[in-house]
Amino acid sequence: MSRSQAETPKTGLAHAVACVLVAVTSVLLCFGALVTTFDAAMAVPDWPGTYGHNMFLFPWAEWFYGPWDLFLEHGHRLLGALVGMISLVLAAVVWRTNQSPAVRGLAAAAVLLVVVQGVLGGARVLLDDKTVAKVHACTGPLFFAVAVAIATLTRRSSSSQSATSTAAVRSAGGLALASYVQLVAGAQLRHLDASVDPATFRWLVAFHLAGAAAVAALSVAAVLCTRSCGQPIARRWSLAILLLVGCQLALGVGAWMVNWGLPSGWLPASWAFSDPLLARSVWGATVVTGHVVLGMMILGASVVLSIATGVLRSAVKSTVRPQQADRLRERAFA
Amino acid sequence: MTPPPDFASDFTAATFVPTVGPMPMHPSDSTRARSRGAMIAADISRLTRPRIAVMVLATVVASMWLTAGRGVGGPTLFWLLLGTTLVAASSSIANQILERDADRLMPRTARRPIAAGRLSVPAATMLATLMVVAGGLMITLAAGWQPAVAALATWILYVVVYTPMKMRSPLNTAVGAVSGALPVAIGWLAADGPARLAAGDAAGALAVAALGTVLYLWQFPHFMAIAWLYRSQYAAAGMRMLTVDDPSGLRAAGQALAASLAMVPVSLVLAVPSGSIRLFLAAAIASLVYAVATVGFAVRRDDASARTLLFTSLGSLLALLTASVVFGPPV
Repeated sequence: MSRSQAETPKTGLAHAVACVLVAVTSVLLCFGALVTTFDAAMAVPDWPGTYGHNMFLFPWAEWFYGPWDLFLEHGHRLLGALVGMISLVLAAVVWRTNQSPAVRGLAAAAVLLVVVQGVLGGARVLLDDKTVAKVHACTGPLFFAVAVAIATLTRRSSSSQSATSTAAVRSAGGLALASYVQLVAGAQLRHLDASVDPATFRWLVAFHLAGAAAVAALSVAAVLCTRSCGQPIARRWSLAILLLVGCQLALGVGAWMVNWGLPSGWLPASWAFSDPLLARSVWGATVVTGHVVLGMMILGASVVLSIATGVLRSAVKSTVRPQQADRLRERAFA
Repeated sequence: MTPPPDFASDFTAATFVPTVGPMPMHPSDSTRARSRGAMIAADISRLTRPRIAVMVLATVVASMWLTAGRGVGGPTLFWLLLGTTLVAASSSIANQILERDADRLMPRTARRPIAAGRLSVPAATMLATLMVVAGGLMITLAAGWQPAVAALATWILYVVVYTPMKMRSPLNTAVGAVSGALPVAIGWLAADGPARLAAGDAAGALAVAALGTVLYLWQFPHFMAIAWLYRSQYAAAGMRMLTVDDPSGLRAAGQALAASLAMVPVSLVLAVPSGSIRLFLAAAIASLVYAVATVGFAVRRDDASARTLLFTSLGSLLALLTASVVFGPPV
C-alpha cells in the first residue's frame, strides 16, 4: 500500500459508529428530558450502583415493570453507560482510521464530555443539587452537538465540499451558538430552585424569549443566505431548521401554557406551576419534553448546516504528508 | 505557580515590551539615571514576569473564595499571596536560567536579563533559591505546610519537568498545563478545604476541582495560539512545540478544539456552591466565546485568528475568575 493510500482516512467505519452514537444519544436525551419532566432524578438514591446492585446487574424485570420514575432514571443510567462505551469505540476507530486532527479533537472532546457528564450525573444524585442538574442538562446537548459534528465530518463527501458565502457561514454558526445558549437558558427554567425570587425568574423568562427571537431570526437568515450559495444540501438543511423552529415556537407556547397557564401578562408572575397535575399529565409531559428534545434537534441540525456551509471545512484535512510538512516548514520558518 | 507553559510571559514579552536596540545616549546624568532605573525595572519585570504572578494570585484567591467565601482574609491572605508571588517569580527565574541558550536564539526572549548576560547565572540561581525558600516559609507560617508543599510541587513540576521537556516532546503542553492548574490546590489547602470536605462541603470541593480542570483545559487553546504565533522562533530555538512538529497547525487546532469544548460544562460547575444563576450564565458565555474563538483558529489557522484566540483566552479566564468572586460567594 502506498503512503498516500495509507494516509487517506477510511471514513466508512468512523461514520457508521458516529451515526450509531448520534442515534443512541438521541434516545438518551429523550430519557434525560423525561427524568426532569417527571422529577425522577432521585428515584434511585445511590450512585454508581442502583439500590445496592451493580448498575448493570440490577434485575431487569424490577426495572422494566417497576415504577415509572425508576424505569426512567435507571434506563437513563444504562443508556448513559452505553453512550460512554460507544464514545470510546468511536475514539479508537477515529484514531485507527487516520482521521483528520479536527475529527480526532472532536472525538477526544466527546470522550472528555461523556466522562464529565457521568461524574455530573453521579454528583447530581449524591448531592441532590439543582445546580449540578443544570450543568448536567447543559452538557448533554453539547455532547450531542459534538457527536453530530463527528458524524457529519466523517461523511465521505464532507472534505470535498466547497465553502459558501461568509454570510451563510456566519448565520449557520450563529444559529448553532444561539440554539445552544437557548438550551442553557431553558435548563435554568427547567431546574428552578424553589427559593428563586420572582424578579430573577421573570428575567430568565425574558432572556429565553429573546433567545427564541434570535434563533428564529437566524434561521430565517440562514435560509436567505443559503438560497443561492451553490450548496443544495445547505439549502435543504436550512429549510428543515426553519420548519423545526416553527414547530419549536408552537411547542414553546404549549410549554408556557402547561407550566404557567394562559398568559395574563407579558411575563408569568411566578415560577410555580399553575396546575401541577396538568404538568405531569401525558399531554403536558409530551409538550414540555418535546420542547426540550426539539431544541436539541435544532442544535444538531444547526451543526450539520454549519459544516455544510463550510465551517471546519479546512480543518478536516488529514494530517499533512511528510513532503508537504517540509514545504510548510520551509515557508513558515523561512 | 507557573500558570500555563510560558503563558502570558511569551505573549506579553512579545506584545507589550518593545524590542528596541541599545539605549540612546542622554545628555544629562539625571536622565541617564532615570533610564537606568527604567531598564532595571524592565529587567526585573522580564525576570519575574509579574503578569503571570497576578494570574496565579487571582487563581489562588478564586480557589479560596469558592472554598471558604469570606472565611479567609487579613494577614493570612496577605502572607500567603506574598509567598506565592515569590515562589512564582522564582520559577520564572529558574526557567530562564535553564533556557538561557534557547532564549538567545529567539528575538522575543533574547533581551531577558540572563540570556542577554546582564545577570549572571550564579546570581540568578542564588536569587531563585532565596525566593523559593522565603516564599515556601511564608506560605508555611501563614497557612500551614500543605499549601507550601503544593507550591513547591508546582515549582518542581514547572522547572524540573516541564522546562526541559520543551526541548524533547510536543507533549510538554499537557505537562506544563498541570503546573498551571496547581495553584488551585494552594488556595484550597490554605482555606482548609480538606477539613471542609470531611465536614460535608462536597459542593465546594467539586467547584474547586472544576476550577483546576478549567485552568488545565484553558491552557491548551491559549498555548496553541502562542505556539502558532511564535512557531518560527520556537523552531529556531529547537523547541518541540506542536506547531513546529506539524506546521500546518492541524494538530494544534485539534487539541485546542477538544480542550475548549470540554471546558464548557466544567466551567459551569463553578456555580454549584453558590447556586448563582448569574455566575452560571457568565461562565456559559465566557466559555462559549472561548470555544467559538478556538473554532475560528481551527478553521483559519493564521496569525490573526491565533491573536484573536490569545486575547479571547485572557478575557474569558478573567471573566470566569471575576464572575466566580463577584457572583459566587458560597452560601
